[in-house]
Amino acid sequence: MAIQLTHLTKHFGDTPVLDDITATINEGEFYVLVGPSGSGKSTILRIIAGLIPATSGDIYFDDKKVTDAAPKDRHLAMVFQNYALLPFMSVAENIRFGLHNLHLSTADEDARVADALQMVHLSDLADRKPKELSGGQQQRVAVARAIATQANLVLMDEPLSNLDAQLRTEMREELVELHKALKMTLIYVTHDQTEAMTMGERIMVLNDHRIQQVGTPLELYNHPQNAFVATFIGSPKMNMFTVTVDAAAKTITLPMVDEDGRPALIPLPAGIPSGTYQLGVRPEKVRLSLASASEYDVPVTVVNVASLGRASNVAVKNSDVEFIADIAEQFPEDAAKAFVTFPTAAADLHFFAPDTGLAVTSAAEKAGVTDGIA
Amino acid sequence: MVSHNETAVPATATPTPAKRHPWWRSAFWFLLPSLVIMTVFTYYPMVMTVFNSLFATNLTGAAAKFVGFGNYVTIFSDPLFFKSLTNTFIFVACDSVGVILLALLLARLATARIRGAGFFRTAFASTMGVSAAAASILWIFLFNPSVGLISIGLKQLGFGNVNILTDPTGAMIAVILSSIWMGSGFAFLNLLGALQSVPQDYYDVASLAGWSSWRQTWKITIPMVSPTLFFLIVVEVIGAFKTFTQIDLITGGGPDNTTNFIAYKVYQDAFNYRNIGIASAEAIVLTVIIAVATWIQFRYTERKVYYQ
Repeated sequence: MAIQLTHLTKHFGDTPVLDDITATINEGEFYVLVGPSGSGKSTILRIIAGLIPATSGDIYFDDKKVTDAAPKDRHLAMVFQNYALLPFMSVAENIRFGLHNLHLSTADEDARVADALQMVHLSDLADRKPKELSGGQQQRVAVARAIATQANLVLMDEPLSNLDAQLRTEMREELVELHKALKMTLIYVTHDQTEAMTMGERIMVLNDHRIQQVGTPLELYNHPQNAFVATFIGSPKMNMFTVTVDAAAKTITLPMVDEDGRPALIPLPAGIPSGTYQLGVRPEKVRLSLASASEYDVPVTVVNVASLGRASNVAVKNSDVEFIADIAEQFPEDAAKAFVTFPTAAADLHFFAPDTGLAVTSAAEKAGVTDGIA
Repeated sequence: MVSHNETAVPATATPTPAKRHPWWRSAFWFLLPSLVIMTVFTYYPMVMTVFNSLFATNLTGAAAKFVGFGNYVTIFSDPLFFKSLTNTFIFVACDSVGVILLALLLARLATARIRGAGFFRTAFASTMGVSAAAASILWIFLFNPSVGLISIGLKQLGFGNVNILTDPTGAMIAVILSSIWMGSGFAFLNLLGALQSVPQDYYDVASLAGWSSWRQTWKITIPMVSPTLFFLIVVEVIGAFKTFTQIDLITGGGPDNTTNFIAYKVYQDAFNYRNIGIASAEAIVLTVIIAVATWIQFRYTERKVYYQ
């Protein structure tokens, strides 16, 4: 089922919650709504479910307008963050709970429950009460209740937030596989950009009640349309510097000093007009070495080394500007000084207008980016 | 990175056990005041009641002659005692059911997301702050045959001039109504808290699954608040068995003992007729009845209660 949202707005009293949300979600798509707390993503989900009304705007399922339809007439299933398993009902009863609307025979209901439990690998636990299950198992029951309805549209509201890190990673994969097998339209709300990036086919980034950008994970990562998306997507987050561009001299002046105490310059690779910008550089594009290799290297003091084993996130500082270099090797934890080499490719330097935060792109930047391994 | 210092545990942070006072010595002093109060006002009277129930007592209330179970034989051959027992059972059933249903209804209304719900929450809970004596006076006015709102209302509805408090059935209904009103505040507040702690997600899932609101109430709300309901039933039943103030002030047990309940009869026998032995035996019977009623509830009702 394809979902269309047209100019949705929502106010709670005088408080705006959603502002002009327009989007199309394709049939069978794994669509993620991501944003910080209070950005309105759960509200969108609840409006789609019909649990709360929109202040204005419309919702279409395929070409049918459902804006005013009751929740039960929308034929969708929903998975909640706290699983919403009734504590006095067994696992099987909780799954059957979601089937009420379908008016199935008892035999059909039993079959649906058994199938759903098998899909989430919990067939043995049908008669247990929720409190006898682990958090991960409870989460599977909540998913089983949704898939047992065989609804064409499943909504998930932060379903993995209550799980520990390892279980969350496992469940991410399982949900993606489940979606591949069942091919329902899945709208998934999360505040965790890693979850959004790893699971979503397309992602809507929300902030301040508005859509910031919609795109595939790599579109968002490589071509953030504004400074919010640039810093929200990616971990560790993109470094941001206030810089001055001199188009004639083809230089970027960083808010740092070189070894001689003069303003640090790096070459400007593409046609950006002169002026002040926010420059975004991904931490993994910042190279770090113990000895200077080029005239454009910037000397830094090492503030902190977070060793991940296979890589290191090194916090460095120059002239009170602290930023992160994410290097794919182990960095000496006792190093006090180092040299930073900023990227020179247009694709790796993201310019944003200082007032609006909107991306200022050059043709060369667009051209230089390849989605994944080219 | 921050490195943790693993050796910096102070060697002598706590004194050795030998130097400390035994734990029960300070506990004793903390518990002593309430032990004294409980002994004087609860335990001693309890023991004395059992003791007195086995004695014929004189007019000063002192035990005069050991009669064994004589007092019990006397009260169980007294038709008035059985009448007050029957009255009490009718009252307990109507009052506790009425209080819980009314409180449940009010709590459900007060959780509705409407403007001004806060005012009603306070209003519904406020009967808790009214003493039984003040409330009784209030209801006497309401039932007053010439100026009472209820009497006037009944007259307007075509029932003519009724004096509720002198009518045998009317008096019982009056006592039940006023008691339900008095008890509803406490039950309301408890149920309100219980209702508000039921997660909204359950109702969301139910409405997506097409459950009617009636079904949601029976299958989600009632089981989720069942611990509170059970607690309230136990407390309300015990309280109803002990009802005294309303009777004493509103009906005085009348007319013709139709609202004479056991607790009131105990009082009459003890202080009007100065028969402490008989009153003590009646009090013991009341205690046994309450204990049995409570045991039955734990035995048969608690199984249906879901504890989180």
